[in-house]
Amino acid sequence: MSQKYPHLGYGLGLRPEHFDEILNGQSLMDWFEVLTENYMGIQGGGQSPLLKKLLRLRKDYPIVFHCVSLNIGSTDPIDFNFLQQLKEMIQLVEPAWVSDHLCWTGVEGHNTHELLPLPYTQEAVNHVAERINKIQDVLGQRFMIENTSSYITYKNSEMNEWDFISEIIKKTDCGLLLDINNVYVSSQNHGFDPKEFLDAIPIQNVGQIHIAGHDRRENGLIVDTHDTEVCDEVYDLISYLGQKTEAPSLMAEWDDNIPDLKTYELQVFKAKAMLEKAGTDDTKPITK
Amino acid sequence: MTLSQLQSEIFKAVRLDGDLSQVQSVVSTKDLSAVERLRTYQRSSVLKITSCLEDDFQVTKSFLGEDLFEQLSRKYFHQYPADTHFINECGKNFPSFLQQEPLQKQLPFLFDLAKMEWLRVESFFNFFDYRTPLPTSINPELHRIIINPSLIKMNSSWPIHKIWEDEVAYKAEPSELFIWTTENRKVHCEAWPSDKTLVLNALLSSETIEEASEKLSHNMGVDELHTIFQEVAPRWVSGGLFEILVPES
Repeated sequence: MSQKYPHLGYGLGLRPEHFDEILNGQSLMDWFEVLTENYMGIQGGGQSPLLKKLLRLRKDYPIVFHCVSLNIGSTDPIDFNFLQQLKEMIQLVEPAWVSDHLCWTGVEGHNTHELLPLPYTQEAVNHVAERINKIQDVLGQRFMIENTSSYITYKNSEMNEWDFISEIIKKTDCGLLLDINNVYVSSQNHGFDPKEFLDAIPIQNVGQIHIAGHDRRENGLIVDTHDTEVCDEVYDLISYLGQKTEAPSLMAEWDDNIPDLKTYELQVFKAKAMLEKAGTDDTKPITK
Repeated sequence: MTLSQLQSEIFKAVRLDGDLSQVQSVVSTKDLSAVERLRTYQRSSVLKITSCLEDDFQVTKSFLGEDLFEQLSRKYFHQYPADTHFINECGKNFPSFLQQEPLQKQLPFLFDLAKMEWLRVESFFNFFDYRTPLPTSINPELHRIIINPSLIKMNSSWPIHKIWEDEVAYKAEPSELFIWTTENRKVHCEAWPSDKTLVLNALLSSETIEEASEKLSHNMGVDELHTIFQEVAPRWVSGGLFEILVPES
């Protein structure tokens, strides 16, 4: 397990539907991840109802920040105004760490709001590594990147995804948010062995694990929809990872057709059971 | 192909109505063409912004109808592609876009309606707990007015708040609307008769009750002002438009 990040235990992606239940102490989770952009750009320096709720939650639980629009892989200039806003949010909420996706979301000043994959080239490694180093300098902390699901590959790719990620981590010592569902989705869409991915990544830099559900489309593509239960194949990969190493902080995401809190938490309990069976879950159990 | 060239090519293709068949950089496999793979991104990208527009302009959509709203949404996003990190800002230019469309005959109030719906969004995001007063040089013996930061005023030739509430095309009637958000994250929109609106505007443009009274004394008798003030000011305060800090002593 990574010594570079604290082990928070088992968590969930915080969704507005469950906010009040969690604040009322009805969750069994150890920590929560928040989608940072949902809390940014709100006036009042922590006095808005939403930020006040988040700060109340922060008193009781560790929180981590997850971003979707830093546009890390884009050839557009880094938006330092956005980074500054992010830094202010970090100072306000004090998350355990901050992450975003290893992707690009737009160019020419426009945003697709999609997590578009990068070509796996040395040029892209150098470009992304330079930008991550700048982000880490501005934020004054190690940043974490997440492997994304993808539906396309590029003709000019020079390496596979896991080597691409490893090269970037070598150059930046950034953290890796390992999304096991994304590994599985991409493996099915592009025909590689997901275990090969898990064997190759620099596990010492993995600070967090995501699990989520996906949807198989009629044309055969699997799309990372986060709208259903986590599938058995993803749990098998959790188990595989658990046999190799002590798992870092793990959480489930669910963004559409959001279920009740118990069903949501069940996704995490299944993963915990898998890790206990694999014999490497000697970390702190769920605390409540 | 450089990274910059590749991103430019993909971006042009996956945005609204982009030509996916022009993309050269993506691999086709025996099961699935590059176009089919890219379409997943294009559909998702378009769905995200159009859904956001539907959420923010629900009554505007109701008046336009499903098909025309979709047609106008697509045209809008051609003219105003998403340009911020925050997807909830994607509708900011929609009212002014609608104003340019030839819809005045059928729906003459449409621009004002869309504008009001957008101001509701802005008000929602502008709200914060304003009841902790900031340091000030105002004389502490006066009744200080602290205005809800989410409060936005809008003038219209239509009773837009009624049109919005009832989804009925009422006749033209000038209105001065007040849009604000409260702690429970509810957005309110109301208009008052002209005498009350005059008092409210004086309060909202003053730092103290005493200053507002002075302004109103030129237009209103003391008794009339006192009556209106007694009647509606407590309701404005309890409704969350502003707070009045009563001097200690």
